[in-house]
Amino acid sequence: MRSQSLPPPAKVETELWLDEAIWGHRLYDEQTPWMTLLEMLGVLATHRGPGPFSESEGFGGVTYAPVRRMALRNILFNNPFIEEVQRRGGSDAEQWEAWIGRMKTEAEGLGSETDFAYLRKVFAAKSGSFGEFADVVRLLRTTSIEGDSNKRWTSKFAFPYGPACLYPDLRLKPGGELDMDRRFFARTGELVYVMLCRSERGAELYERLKPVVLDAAAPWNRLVDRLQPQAGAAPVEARTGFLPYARHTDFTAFAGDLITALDARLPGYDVLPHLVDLIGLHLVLYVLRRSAEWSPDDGPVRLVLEIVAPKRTTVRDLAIESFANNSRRTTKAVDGYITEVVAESDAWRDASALVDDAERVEAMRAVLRETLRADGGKIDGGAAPERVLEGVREWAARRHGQHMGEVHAAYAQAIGLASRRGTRRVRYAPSDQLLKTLVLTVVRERMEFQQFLVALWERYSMVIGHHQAAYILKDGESDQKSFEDNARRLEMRLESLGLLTRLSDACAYVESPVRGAR
Amino acid sequence: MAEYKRNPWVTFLRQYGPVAGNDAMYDEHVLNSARRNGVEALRLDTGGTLEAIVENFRSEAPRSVVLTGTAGDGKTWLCREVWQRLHGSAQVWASDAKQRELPLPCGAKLVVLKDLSEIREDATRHLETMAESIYADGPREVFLVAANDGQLRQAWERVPRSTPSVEAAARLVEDLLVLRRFKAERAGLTLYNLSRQDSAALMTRVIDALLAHEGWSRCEGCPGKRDEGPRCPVWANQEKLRDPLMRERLTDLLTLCDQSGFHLPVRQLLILASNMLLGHPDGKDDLLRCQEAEKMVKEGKTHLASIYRNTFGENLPESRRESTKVFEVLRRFGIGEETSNRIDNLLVYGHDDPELQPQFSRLFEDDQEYGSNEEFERSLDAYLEGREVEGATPFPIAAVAQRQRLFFTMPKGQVAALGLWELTVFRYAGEFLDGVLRPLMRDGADQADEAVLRPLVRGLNRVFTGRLTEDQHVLWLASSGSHSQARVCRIYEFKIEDDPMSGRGISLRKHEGRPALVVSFKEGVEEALPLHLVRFEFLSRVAEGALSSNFSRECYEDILSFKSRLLSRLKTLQGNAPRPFELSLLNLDESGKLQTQRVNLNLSQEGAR
Repeated sequence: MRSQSLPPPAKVETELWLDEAIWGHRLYDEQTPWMTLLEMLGVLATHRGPGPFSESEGFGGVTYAPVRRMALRNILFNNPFIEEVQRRGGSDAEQWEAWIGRMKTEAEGLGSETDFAYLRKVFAAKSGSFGEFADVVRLLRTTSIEGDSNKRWTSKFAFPYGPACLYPDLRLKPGGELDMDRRFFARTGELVYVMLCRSERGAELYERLKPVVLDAAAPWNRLVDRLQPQAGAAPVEARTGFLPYARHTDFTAFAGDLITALDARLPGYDVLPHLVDLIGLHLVLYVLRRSAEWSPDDGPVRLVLEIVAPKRTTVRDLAIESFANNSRRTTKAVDGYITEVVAESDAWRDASALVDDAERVEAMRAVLRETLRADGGKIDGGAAPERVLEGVREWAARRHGQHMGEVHAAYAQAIGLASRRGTRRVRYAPSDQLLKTLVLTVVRERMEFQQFLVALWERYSMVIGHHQAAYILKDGESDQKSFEDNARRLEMRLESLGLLTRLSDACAYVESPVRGAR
Repeated sequence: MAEYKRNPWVTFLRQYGPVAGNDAMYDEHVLNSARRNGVEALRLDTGGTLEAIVENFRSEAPRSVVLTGTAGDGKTWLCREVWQRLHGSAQVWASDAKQRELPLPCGAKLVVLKDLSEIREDATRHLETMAESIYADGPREVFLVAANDGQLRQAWERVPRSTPSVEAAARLVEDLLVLRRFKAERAGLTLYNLSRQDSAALMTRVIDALLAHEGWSRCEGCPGKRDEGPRCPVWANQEKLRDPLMRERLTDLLTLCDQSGFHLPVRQLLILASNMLLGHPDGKDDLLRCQEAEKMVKEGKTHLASIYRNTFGENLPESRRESTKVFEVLRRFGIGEETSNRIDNLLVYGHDDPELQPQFSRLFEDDQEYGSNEEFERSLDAYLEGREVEGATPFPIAAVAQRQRLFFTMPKGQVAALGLWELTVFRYAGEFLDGVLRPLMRDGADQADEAVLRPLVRGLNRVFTGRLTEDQHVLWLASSGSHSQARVCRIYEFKIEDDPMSGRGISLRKHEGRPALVVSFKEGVEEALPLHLVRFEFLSRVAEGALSSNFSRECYEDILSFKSRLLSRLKTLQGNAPRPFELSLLNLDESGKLQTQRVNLNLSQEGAR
């Protein structure tokens, strides 16, 4: 059954409204799951909605006002001078002066506010205080998100210790002006925020997230806060992107998993990598399940997982195939959408039946404008309906292939759901970290191993053991033993991660890493 | 010379060996074979379990009994023994009745279900009745049920949760199962988990029963039964099995297996014992019969029957060795492959080097059967001269057999000097046995010795901080700031020093029936890391050298999750009240001690952003 979707917003800024109609505006392959979490937290911390994870009526998303924190970002990521100053030596005061002087001219994106002298008050006046400052900066750099990537410095992020660490991705234009260019915060985090708004569990989720990442009094947050001047530039408002579904059980399940992970009360910020994995996993499932609704021929979504074996097995081949099939689903969905919404519509039939070429062209364009919000200037194919349609399909596929079409593959790999390990082709093969996340969210205290496999199937469409693979075995494409071995390898992996206790050959329990602590 | 006698006992012993058998019918199978050969089947002492169960059913208010355990733990056997002691008829037992019933002295009826999988459809009905009887006063029926834990769990799962008793009983069985105790009792139910038996103690009973069996007397008059070679290798093996040193080393290995969670059921121990006595690669099914024993002696192949090799299944083809649990488990010790320069020097040069010769002679030359004999010397000569000699075993293979033998024969006085445990993968196993298992589990000591504890604390500190610290009196908890599970953690979180007044400190003691490192924050607030062989070895190695996560990824993960538990516990203890923020970095000083370096921050004036 197809999910009920919302009409597009009144004003559409894209040249075609198609990926957006199926999945929303927008999912973006280059926005890693970590970036998605940060963007989502940014919305949560500065939302102007009626409340956290809550949207005004009409499903129009929310407005938020991210703080840019350019001083902090200059200190952390646009500041090779600390080491330089330390190398040169000199008294504490001399070092401070040299550094502050240097930053005055070198800091960017701050307009005229390039005086970092306020930092001297943060570090107690005594010898070695500059060294302590340098230590703190180094520490924050080592814990930063993608801090050691070769991305532009305005796309590097402090670890989300608290609200003072959250800021948007920006582009520094040649003139020194800043711009939210949506390069790495491409609205995927906004979509996640809106999904959670529509999950019916937003309030519960907020209660649990607050003490972890939104606590202004958290020690590390206070530290990061103090590295910033009292007054910064005024925030610039933004509005979240369009999400085509007013509600969905998938959103509820998504929020539920985040809540369960947070309930484990892991120490410090240890839960965050798990939240990142869950965001990636739920987005992957969202992409695939919505795709399946527009290309039903491929059957229900299933992810055949190979628990990495030392050599090639039929399960590996099936996992490769399953990954490849799923990767193709989104493109097929786009095609299916055009077929159903355009080609098979009465309006299109009427338009293509017109005899006069000019009238027909005009009518076809009107239909495409109406159904796909297609930019008329980009429609080719002259007056032949078939060729026009073909042109639209190609255009849509090309556009889709640039980013949206890669989201499934990119996210699956980013969270360790898929990898090339031991092969040349990507297939679903979960990493240890992801397995830990799955155990944390699926198992409260302990769960019998076969039930665990069933739970992974029911929640995440994952095929690991032979019961879940029944549809494959029925076709004779593999044998029961291959999948039993696959499940056995999972048992061994979980055991080696300390997440499974075997009572005997016949009976094993998956155990939560925080059993007894909840 | 006269021919060897044919001893039916030896033929019967093969039944216990590593030959493919029908699991479900094992008990019957062995009984039939004993009858056929005209020998008594082995009578194993159950260490009082059998008597306790019989006693229960004879009592005024008997409880239902569930016998669980993995395949080969002797569930069916024990059921039958109970049946016989309660005067159940042998005919009824041998029949294919689905259930067997007996009146008990208290007036109730005993229902015996010796195999739940056999009565699939009826199981649900029986379990429903059993659930009621567990929670009833003076039930009319009590049960004796045997099933492996997987079947047991599944059978209970299939029972509709129609009454509170069923719900409660299903929960009870699962709870008792995961308790991991040998015997657990609650309400009207006693559960014996035969997988929790002490394999070392079981093996002692198996060997005692085997060696005391009257069957050996039938070797009387056989020319192979002599005190020295050339003699029957089976006879030689049973003599060697009587050696207390050999038996102690074997039970030590089994104790270590038990403590590491590798339980060996009695059927596997019988396989082991049978193979130790009869194993030979040229025998039928790789086990010797009397006529083959004679042939091997004639052909000069006695050394291939070495009990020391057979212990690790060397007589078997690789596939069978790997698929037989007891060998798979024992081979994890790597005995034969693992070695030290000291021992290999002795093996290679001991024969000729005048300095080493006396020791070599004492250790290897007094055993003509399996020690240094002509066969070994030929291998050694060929090796030293760098040529191949036809028919001679390649030296590396011959050396494996010698190291395996040495493990079981190295005199106690030389264990430290020669490094007995260097013959295994677990170099610290000796310390684990002597410093942890024996004092805590056997002698009932409160705590293990400081000298054993401290290196482990050092190992923990190294894993917790990712630094090569020498600290071993203080336990340091650190994080990377954002992540407690990072490889290198430079941010100080907390430290635990021994303080008897407040109950704070670290100890190595028995915790929930197992040895464990227990970290106590204050009286009654503690977290424990159960310590088995692999973890002990891991922490000891880490304490000695670098972080060897390649030795055991599992242990590394375990210990990080222990740290996570400690930090969670700490967080709960500290509560949610805001505390002043102190940032301290952990630095390593020149002596390898960790020092905190406080970063002085002035966080009082906070902006409102």
